Amino acid sequence: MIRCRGHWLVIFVACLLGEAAASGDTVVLVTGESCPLTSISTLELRKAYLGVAVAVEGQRLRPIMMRGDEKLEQIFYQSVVAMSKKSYERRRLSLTLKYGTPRLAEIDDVADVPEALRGTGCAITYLWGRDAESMQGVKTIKLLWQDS
Amino acid sequence: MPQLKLPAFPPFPDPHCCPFRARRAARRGLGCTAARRHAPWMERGQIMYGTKKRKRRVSRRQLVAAGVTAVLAVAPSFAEVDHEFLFFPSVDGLNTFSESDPSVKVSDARAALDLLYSVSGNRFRFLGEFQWSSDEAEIERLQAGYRVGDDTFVWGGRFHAPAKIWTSEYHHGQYLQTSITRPALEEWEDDGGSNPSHIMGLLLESEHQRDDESAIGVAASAGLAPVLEDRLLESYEILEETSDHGLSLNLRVSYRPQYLSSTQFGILAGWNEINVQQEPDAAPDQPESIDQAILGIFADWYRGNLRVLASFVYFDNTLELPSRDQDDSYLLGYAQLEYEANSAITLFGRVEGGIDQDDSAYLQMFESVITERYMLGARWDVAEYHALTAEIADTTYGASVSGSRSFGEFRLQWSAVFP
Repeated sequence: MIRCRGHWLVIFVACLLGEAAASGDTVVLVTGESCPLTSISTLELRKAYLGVAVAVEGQRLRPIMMRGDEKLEQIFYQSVVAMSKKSYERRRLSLTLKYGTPRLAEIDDVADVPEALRGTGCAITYLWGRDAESMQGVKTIKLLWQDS
Repeated sequence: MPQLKLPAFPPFPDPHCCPFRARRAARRGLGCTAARRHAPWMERGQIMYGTKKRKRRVSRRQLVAAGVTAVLAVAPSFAEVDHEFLFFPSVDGLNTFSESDPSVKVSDARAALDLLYSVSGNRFRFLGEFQWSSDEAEIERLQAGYRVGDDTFVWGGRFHAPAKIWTSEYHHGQYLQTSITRPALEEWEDDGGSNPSHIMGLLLESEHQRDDESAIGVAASAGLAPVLEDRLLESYEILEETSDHGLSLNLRVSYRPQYLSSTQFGILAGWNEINVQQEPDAAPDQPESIDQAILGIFADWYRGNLRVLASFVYFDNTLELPSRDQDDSYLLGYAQLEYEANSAITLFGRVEGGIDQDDSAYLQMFESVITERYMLGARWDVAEYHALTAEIADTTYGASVSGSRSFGEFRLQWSAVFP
């Protein structure tokens, strides 16, 4: 009986530690080191992800969507495009149907981000802050979300 | 197998299979029976899909164009070029009923697949849309565009008339439109639509963002209008050898209070010269041509979970009869209300009607035209990119050679998109 209580105590403490670690989570906007972009307004960023051609500091932006992390996607819909996933996906499809507008590039694996950002032009995407810190050839240009 | 109960029709050969229709059917490689009209409530998109058997044929020129599209699609991509493919499949079921007229009882099913392909370069863009269904195979759009400014494209080819807001929003993408049916005002030509939907010519599309984050959009086109043949509008087909098609001018000007929002308001205008293919046994007072001027307004308004999509268009026609001109005017309109109850369920309803449309000499030249419809429906987004939709409606045909009829209809549909 005592041993069982000890297990629950360990799990409880581990959960507390996990929460503490997660409370410092951030989501950041990143681009390649070769891109001269140093900042971008929230409105310009929203336009770019809503299919509007946006040039900042003379550079045409190429937004990339991150897939495969549900929480990261939710933060993107809430903090970047400010609409539900359903509305956003319909809008993307609608632009393609109406004008033939290409949909945004997508990445499923965070390990592919440096390679995707290395191309010509200014590609941008959003990442967990902890992932961005450990990446080579990637620079952070905006804090998009922070766990309170 | 769906049950199909139709009112009794004369057996083939029948006196209604007129020489003109027989000639036309022969030209299209069909028997007279296939070209014979069905009951007006059978028209696809109005009441029931599935009677356009004469459209089942795919012409050689359509195959050529489809082949070009396919080659472009499978061609190896090269730098700075993006390819897009979208598939919009749908399957519909329909049942019509009428207590006063038991003969109006139809059950049917129909499957359709809309294929969209686009290729985009820095300034160049190509867009093709091909619809393949259980009763037709047709290139709906085939257009090439060139970007002449940050927000301006000039297109050439076959495109959808810009002076139609529903058509401009949804084209043939069934999954993206909330309801199963389209309003009669926005109906396709080969489904009994009474004003042009497909134009061959030049199209300019532009959207200008203003300093206050609002935007003004303009879509203007000049091209070839459809002809009126055998009580249907026939639009210009890709690579058509001969043309009796008149001029079509279209304009849509829209205002978005917020550039990034979907809410928009605007005006629609157009002028169409619709030439009439003369039937050998035509009545002596059949017009040779119709000049059609249109002026309308539209609104697509979002607030919270509500959306209203509405359009009202005034038509002023001049029917050029052999001995005189006849003026004809009427108004058609619709308003659709949508309520997104939650992320999966959307409830909607639509009212369609008009003024003086029942007495229109122009509308009476068509096989059947819906003059009133009261519809309610629900859509369930069962999974990502899949939806089930149900509709029930009270529908009236007014200005029709078959006379006025009113009856109910119930529809079910599965629609999806595969990106």
